[in-house]
Amino acid sequence: MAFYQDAAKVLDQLDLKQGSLKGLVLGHNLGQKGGPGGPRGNDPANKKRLLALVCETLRYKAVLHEVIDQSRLLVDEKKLNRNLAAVLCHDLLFGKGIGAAGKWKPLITKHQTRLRAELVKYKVRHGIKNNADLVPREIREMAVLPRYVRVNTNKTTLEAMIAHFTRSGFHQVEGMPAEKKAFALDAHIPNLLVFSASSGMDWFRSPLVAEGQLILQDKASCMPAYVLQPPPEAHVMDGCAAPGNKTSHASALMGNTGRIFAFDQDARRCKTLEFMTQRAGCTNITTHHQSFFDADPQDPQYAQVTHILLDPSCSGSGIHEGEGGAQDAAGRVAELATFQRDILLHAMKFSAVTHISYSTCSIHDAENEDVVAAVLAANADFECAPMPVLNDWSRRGHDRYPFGRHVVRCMPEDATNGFFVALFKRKTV
Amino acid sequence: MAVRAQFENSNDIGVFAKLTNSYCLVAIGGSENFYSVFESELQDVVPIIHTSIGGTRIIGRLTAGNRHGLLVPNTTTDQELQHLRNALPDSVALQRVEERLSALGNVIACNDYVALIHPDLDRETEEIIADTLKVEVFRHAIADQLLVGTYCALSNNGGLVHPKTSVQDQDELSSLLQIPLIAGSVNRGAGHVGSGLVVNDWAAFAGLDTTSTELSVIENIFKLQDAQPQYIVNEMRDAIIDSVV
Repeated sequence: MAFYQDAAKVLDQLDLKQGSLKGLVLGHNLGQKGGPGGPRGNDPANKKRLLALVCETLRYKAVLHEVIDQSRLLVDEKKLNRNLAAVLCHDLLFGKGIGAAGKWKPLITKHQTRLRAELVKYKVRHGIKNNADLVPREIREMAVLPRYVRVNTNKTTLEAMIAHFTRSGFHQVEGMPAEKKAFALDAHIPNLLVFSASSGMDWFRSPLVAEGQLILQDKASCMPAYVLQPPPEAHVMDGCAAPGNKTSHASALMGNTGRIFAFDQDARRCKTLEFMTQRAGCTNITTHHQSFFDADPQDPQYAQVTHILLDPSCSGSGIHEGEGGAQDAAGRVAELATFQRDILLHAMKFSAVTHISYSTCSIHDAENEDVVAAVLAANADFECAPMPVLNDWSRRGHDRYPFGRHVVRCMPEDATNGFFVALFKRKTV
Repeated sequence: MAVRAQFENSNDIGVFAKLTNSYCLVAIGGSENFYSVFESELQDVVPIIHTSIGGTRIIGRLTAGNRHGLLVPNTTTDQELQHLRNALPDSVALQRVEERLSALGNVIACNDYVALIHPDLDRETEEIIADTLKVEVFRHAIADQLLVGTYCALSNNGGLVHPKTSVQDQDELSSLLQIPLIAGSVNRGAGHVGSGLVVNDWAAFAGLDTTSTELSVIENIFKLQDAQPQYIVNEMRDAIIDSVV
């Protein structure tokens, strides 16, 4: 019973954009004492099942909602909310039947005739034969991204990891690994391995990941730190650090020397940040549980900060998780863009700063090029500089901006999530 | 074969009879003529049961059923229920339905696999229909008429619907029911085909006023005649083979 409610709750939160699919499923709100999941919520098998149910429900979202509307289920059953009805209907119509759903099971099964009939009617109206064809075409044909694994040079070396994978039956190839047991070195980012999505590895339970020797990080997320190129012994700030993969990447690039001030204002995410960076063996990171805006540019401890990594909250429209997140409200995007501009301008107040990398996992111009243009207009000390690296990356910003050639965009066609990276440099440098 | 019949000067024989693949109900009437028409066609194949429902003769409009079951309205007396139970084959489930729209024959149209029902039927009734008749149940209207049982006649081979059903509606219904449909009339142009016609997979009975054209449409769509193209081909092939051998 709690299982379906958990799934419905995750969907509610997704609708309100209170987090990402995986974050919500694997995250804090399940299995906490007194939380809806109870002690079972922490069981990994249960979470896997929950993730599967939520993903599948999202895939069939349009059909399920139409079936629910047409059958007037919510009118007859006042206790059901829309998302709970959707997950129950999913299991009834497409799944293996309703599992242990407690009081929900009789409540939904007494409507099953009607629901099944509405599904058939929907299929007839749209000329669909198989249930599989009910999933919208763009979701069905979505490319599966390869699995990127970053070798954490704080703990191990690329050679050691290649040797390890070769021993475990993988073989190294050039280009994209197509077969199950193949891997490749990424063409753009050093120390990044690419595996096929169907490699059959349970990466999340791999001991190498648990020991922090490998870090699961999309290629696009490796770009900000790589573009920033913080030199050893530098002082670096990470404005929106959690979950800490980019921070530990920066730490690795600096050879675990110098200092990194990592900020995050959310207590839970700050915990994740500490956990992830500790696991990655980073000794040069100090975490600050505060908003980056509260970091005082006059504070002497930040006086030597030369590089800042900024990956602020964004609409996440580039994240490729089958959520169909393309329909972000314009108002929300505008709000985010203002926040992104302000945080960049705040970063530029630190007097010693020479390099700032700015990145989002959004594909909207309003959060990307427009923010860069607004910041350049507001602060003449900085320019959007050509990047020292990634020169052979072909997908760039829009040409209508003067700096369009200097920023990098990623799309699923590049076998990454949708992403945007820009590098600001102080002009006097 | 499709044959014509009349119940005490009325052409609406669908009102006074219910025909399925496993039983036939006929109303208790003054004359045995009506009964003998059915007997001549169905004798020894399915039981023909004389009955009343709630003391009335309009049994075709009050009941709904198929090979798997028979639904009767709450007006049915215990005595009638007992009689039906005794007369029906054991494999046929009999169920009394507490439903406000008690003319079940008018609000339910079904064959052995699917049922169309009046959109205002109770949810409980819908479940009973699905369970007793073992069918998929669709709430649907025919030519904007909600009384689906009145305006269509279905068998497992095909269906005849109200003459004003649009082609688009016919296509949608046809893919919903998975049988070919045709818009047509009975009794010299009457649109309420459910009351003018009773049909199962091998026999059809239409009102006495039904024209030859109407009857041939009925025989065609319900695949009742031996003059279907495939029969002719089969016969020709047999003859050719005979002559060659």
